[in-house]
Amino acid sequence: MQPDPVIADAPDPPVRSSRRNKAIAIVALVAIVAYVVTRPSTASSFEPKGNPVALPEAGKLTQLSADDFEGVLVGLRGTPVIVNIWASWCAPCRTETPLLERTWRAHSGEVVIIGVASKDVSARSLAFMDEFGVTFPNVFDSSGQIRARLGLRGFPTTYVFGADGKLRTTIVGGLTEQRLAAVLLDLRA
Amino acid sequence: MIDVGLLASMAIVLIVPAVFVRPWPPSAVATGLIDVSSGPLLIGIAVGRLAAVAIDDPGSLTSLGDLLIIRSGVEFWPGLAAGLAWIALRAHHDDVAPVQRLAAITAPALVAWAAYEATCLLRDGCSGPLSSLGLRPAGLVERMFPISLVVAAAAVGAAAVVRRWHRRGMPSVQVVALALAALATIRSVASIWLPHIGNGLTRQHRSSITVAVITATAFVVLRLRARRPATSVGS
Repeated sequence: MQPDPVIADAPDPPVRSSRRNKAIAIVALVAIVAYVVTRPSTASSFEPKGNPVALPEAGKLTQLSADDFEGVLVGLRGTPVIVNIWASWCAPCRTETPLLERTWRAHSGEVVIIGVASKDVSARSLAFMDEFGVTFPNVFDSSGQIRARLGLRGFPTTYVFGADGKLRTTIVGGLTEQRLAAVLLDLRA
Repeated sequence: MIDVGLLASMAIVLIVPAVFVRPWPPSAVATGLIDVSSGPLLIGIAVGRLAAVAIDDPGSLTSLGDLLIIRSGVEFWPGLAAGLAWIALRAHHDDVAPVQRLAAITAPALVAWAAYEATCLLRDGCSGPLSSLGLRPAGLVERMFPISLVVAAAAVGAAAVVRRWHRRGMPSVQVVALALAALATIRSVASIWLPHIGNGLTRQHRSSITVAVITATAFVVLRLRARRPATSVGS
């Protein structure tokens, strides 16, 4: 093994300064971890109620009231449901829509995916669906009541309902493949 | 919307190696590790994000808003290549041999990656196969074996090995090849157990396997060449 031709060690920094920097860094690390761990939860306590309503046709954008939307979720009890609230202007939605479509095609027998286009113009929502070749059911939340009832805090947000119809997880912000796959694994367990 | 977990992870990635791991040889990084690593980190994230958007949604390449959502995906290897290129350029500017500076920061860089993987606890939780021994990722009901924490431990181990060999006089170019091979191999193996959609390999998994094969081959070739006895003139 041949060493590098020039490896000249620089003198170490003063010990006192090094210890102080370490102490500051450790305090900063503890503060960061404490803040992240104790930040408020984004979980919503929404629980669907009402009479069952049929699932809207896949690949279409169906306008629904908040009550009918809850009815759809009630009608799907017995099957896990992933509700994704999106808009055509939302940047992370562009990344996660192909992921949701891939999931729908790979797991359509095990889980139902429902997109909710909200705070948007229906023509733009339809163009968005066409662009990404969306084939899972989508509803159009023209009044904003669906997102209000779900307690939406930002676009996109994904709500995961278990087979018992209860809300299990709320994911605020863009989905990653690993996160979505972990959610599916959790639902199937 | 600010992703607090991701921001905290980035801060920890910069702080941990700068405080707990010194570059070797120190002469290659005389100005401090945060000075040397913050630029490549930003460049790496930017290039990695550009690569992800170019592959997944080329129509969004002109949208700054779309590009800034790094949480939606960053291609690891193009980002790493850009970061390494930036470090090499800065080293050249500082009159330090680029490969010597790259070798000097291999151990801190592996520790930084380990810190990022370990901060899965601050983001979505650490996922993996279902296991009663595991942790419960945020919002999930079932426990999962935290693959990222194992990856973090493996990366720290790799950093220790690379650092030891470097201190024993392994040439810088071999140190860099060894570190890259270790990084790619750990990622390739870990990807087997990370949850993914569908049955095939993910793009990240395929690219990690490719880089592992290339860098491991390069490392072996460099070692063999270094061991070959020099032929004297006239013999």
